[in-house]
Amino acid sequence: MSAGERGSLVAALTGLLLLSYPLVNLPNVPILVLGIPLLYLYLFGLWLAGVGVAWLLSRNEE
Amino acid sequence: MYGLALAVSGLYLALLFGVAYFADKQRERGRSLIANPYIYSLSLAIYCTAWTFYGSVGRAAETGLGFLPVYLGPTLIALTWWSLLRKIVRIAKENNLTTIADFFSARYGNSTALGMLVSVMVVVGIMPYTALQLKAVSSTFDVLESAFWPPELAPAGIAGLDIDKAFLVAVFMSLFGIMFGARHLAPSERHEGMIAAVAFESVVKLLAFMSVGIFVTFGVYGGFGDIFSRASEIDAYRELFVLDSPSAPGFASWLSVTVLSAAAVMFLPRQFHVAVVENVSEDHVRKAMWLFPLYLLLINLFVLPIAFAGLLTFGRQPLQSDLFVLTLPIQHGQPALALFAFIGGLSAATAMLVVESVAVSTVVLNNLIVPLVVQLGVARDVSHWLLTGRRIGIVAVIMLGYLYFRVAGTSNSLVNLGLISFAAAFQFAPAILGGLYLRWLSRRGAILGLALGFTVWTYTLVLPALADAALLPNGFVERGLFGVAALRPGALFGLGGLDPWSHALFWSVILNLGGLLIGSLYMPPRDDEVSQARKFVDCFDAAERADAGPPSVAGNFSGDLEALMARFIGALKAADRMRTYREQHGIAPGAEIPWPLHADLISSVERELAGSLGPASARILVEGYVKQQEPRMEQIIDAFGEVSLSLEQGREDLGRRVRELSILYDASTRLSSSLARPDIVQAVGELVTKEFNLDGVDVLLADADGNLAPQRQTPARIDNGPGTTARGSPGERYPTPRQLADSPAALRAYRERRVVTSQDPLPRRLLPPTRAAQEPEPIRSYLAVPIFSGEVTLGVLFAYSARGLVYFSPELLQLVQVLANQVGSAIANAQLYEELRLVSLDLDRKVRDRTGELEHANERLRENDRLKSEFLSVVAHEFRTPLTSICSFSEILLSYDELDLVRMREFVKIINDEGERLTRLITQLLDISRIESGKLELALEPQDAGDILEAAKRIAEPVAARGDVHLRLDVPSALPPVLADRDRLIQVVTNLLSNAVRVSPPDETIRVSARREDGMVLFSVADRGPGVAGEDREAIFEKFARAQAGSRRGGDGTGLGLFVSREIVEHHRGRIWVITALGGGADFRFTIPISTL
Repeated sequence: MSAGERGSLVAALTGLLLLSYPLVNLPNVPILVLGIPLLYLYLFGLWLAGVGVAWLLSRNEE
Repeated sequence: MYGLALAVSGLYLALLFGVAYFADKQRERGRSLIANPYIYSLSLAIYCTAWTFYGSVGRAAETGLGFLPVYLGPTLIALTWWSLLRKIVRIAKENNLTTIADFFSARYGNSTALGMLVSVMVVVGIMPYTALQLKAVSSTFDVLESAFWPPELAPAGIAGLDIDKAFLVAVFMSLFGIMFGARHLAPSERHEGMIAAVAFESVVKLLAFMSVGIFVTFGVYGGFGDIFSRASEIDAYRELFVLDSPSAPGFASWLSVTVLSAAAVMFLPRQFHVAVVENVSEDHVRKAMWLFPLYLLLINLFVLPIAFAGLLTFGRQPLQSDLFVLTLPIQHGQPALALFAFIGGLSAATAMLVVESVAVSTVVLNNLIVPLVVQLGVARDVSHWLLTGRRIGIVAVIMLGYLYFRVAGTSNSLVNLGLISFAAAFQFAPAILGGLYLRWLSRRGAILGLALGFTVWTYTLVLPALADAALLPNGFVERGLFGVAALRPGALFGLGGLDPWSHALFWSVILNLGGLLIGSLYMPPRDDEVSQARKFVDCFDAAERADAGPPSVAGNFSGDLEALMARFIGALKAADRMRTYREQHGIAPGAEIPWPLHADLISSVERELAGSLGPASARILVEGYVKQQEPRMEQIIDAFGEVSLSLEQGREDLGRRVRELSILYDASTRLSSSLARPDIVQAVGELVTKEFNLDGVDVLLADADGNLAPQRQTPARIDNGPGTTARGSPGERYPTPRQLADSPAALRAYRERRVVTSQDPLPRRLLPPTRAAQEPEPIRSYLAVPIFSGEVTLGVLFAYSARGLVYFSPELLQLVQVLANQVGSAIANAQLYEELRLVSLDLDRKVRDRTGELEHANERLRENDRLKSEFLSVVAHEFRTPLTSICSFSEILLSYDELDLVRMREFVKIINDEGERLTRLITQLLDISRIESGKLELALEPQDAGDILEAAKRIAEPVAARGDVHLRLDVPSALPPVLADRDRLIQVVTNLLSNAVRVSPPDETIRVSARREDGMVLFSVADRGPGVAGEDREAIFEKFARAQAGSRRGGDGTGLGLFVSREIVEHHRGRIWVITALGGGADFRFTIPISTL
């Protein structure tokens, strides 16, 4: 398994963990932060981070 | 309003067609529009269908975040694309695979059955999804109609036309699909136009959705915060901010949909098509893995604001929230924006429908139709027919979706329809992902897993959906099949409390994955599957890419192969492929294709056909063709059979092979260097104990009677090192070679000429039970292998282990048999060598003997030579003495004139005596010469002994008288005659008499006698002289012999008389000797045989 394969597997599993109960339950409260529900911020933030990690992974695999 | 919506739709589709046409033209000019990662990423966004466009908002309005896992799953799986998707792309390209069903079929041994199963699953699985698109488009028509042409203003004529909009859309989509997806046959050729259109549509739908989102968020409301703040004032809507609230999905469903989506984004037929089949370059995956999630993020960014805006505007209305994207702009006086959104939704739906129908029709054609055609053995050109078939397939797929929509679609929301298809796609995940990394997964395991998964999917999701649409009686959903509560589709085996997706996912994982793994373990892959599995799993490993491939063909068959291709892809294209192949390999048109390339050519033809027909059918066709050629190419197939066998063996197998070979090599070097049996036995013993971890080895060879004989006396125990010596003393624990030779196992191996081991069912015990019966049997594992040399069984190689039970694998037994054969030839060599050595020893001894004889003869010759010289000097001396006397006395006579007569007479007398002596000497010398040269000839006749003695007495009388000696003859009257030569016998007696006279003192008597004795006549001449000393009794018979004392020698003895006498007597087969006579003196005796005549 190459370093890239390891990285992508770790990233995908970490993402799944962060999306799963109980971690996803931590920001699961109906409050607004900057006018936006906290969970929405958490999930979209995570999503954006995922895109960023994918970008990094794709660059590492030159 | 239909007019407007239809006109806009028509114009938009025309635009799409223009884009597609332009892309195709550009491609023909060699400037591909789609060969870049951005177009590739946009084409992947076909994932966002009308479901995304409308359904997400609807689901968000109902459940808050419930829509999100559908996009989070793909984002997660995209992280692994560089290894996972790239691997699938690589495999698909190498094997020219064009659908997901082909992928299955190829991975699991080109299985037609598996391809068929997957095809059926694909067709059934996507039906809800296509229905969803039709439903979305047709309902949007209605919305637009009401917006632009309020019902009260609608012309009665048009409103009365109850056009089935969904059917209309379906027809449109079918045409579109045929135009872009099935203009020509080979689907392996990328559909550049279609992909360009899909990418274009992805841009349109993103822009349309974001336009609505921006308008709603910032035009109608004051930004995100404004919308969410207003929504948070209503308790019911605040529940939508979180998960696991009364209206939001629970965590189980949240995670399940994430997983289902991750599988769907890769294994839905259209996703597989755009991501794998239409992929231009593996490197495009690199950008897509972050661009595609980014696209998803952007298109979902405004879902929640639009949903809440819709809720705030319209309130909660079941099934209406799906259309907020259209109704909100209309509500807020932006019909043009609504029209743009409609175009966006249309884009999403058309792209999906076109690609899905193209992909699925290929699946059906390759895996259901073509196998049938191939099995039926159609011989003529079917390429045109196949193209028609594909077009029919496209229409059929869309119409099936339409049917599902008509039958079951009205009652289910968009989201539910889509997720049913997602769950179907998930069923493919275990066998594909497992198949990429695990070689041991088998075809039958995959079929079992898929069948179970498909059953679960149908029973837990599809049947309840149909029951929901009142197509099936609802009873089994609520009370379970046959009223058994454990069989309720929503709570199978009592698994209650879960949403349908989690429930279906749970049972899918258990049964599908479980069936795949357990099925593969119990029904392992067959040989042809193993090579395919290797191709898939090791596709990045260049060293592993050696492919057994199809067998080669002897002769020039390029024409036949071209004809074979022409039947399925058309003559023009077939000729083109063959020309390209020739160009690639630098073969002139018309020239023979050299045979090393034949296998390669067949592979590429198979690949080409796989692109049009699917791998299973292509393999069947090519194999069928190759089989036709079989009589011509038997040899080559055999050779290939070998290669593929060895390739199919795992690395461990190969490693073991290498070790076996090195053992055999070791054995042959050792055995060929030893020529003596003990050395061979030793060498084999060391080798076997070292390599096979056995304790002892003995070679038992058969003797001439066919009994086995041990080659040594002590047990053949060779220690392997520490740890093996700890048990008992060898004498106790290990059988002696004698015991081994007498064991039934060894005898059976020898007599039946086969390997006998402790694993054989018959008597396992090696040795008969001993007195110490309580003692455990020392040897429980043994093997006796016959040693062959040619046709002859030389003996038995016996090996055993004293360390408990050992399993002898068939390979090991084979190896030991080969080893035994080597021992056999080594022993045969040793035997030959031994025989040769004996022969050479014998020869050596003979040569030495002969040399000894020759040396002896030589010695004798030298001695004779020496004797002769001596003899000559003696003879000369003997001559000189009388001659000296004669000369001196004759000189005196001459020099004295006056000499008295008396003296003169005296002198003359001396001269005369000496002269006589000389004469005698010469006569005897002549005799000797005659004797020694073997020329002494005897005239043997019966003679009277007395007669002979009488004659001899008469001759000797005068001399005796002179010496005053008396002779007395004493012969019995009845003496038988002797067989003799008269003169020679007289000579002997005379000789003895004259000797006797010479030594006898005066007045003595010499007694001459003869008598019979033992068939002989014994003659005796006895005198009264001084006699012969004991030590001289032999020597006096030699030439010129003198008795040491000299007493016997008179003045006139020549020294030759006795020698001549002895020779004569011995020639008569008699014997001569001398004894001491009575009263002193010598008694010479000799015997002569009595005549029998």
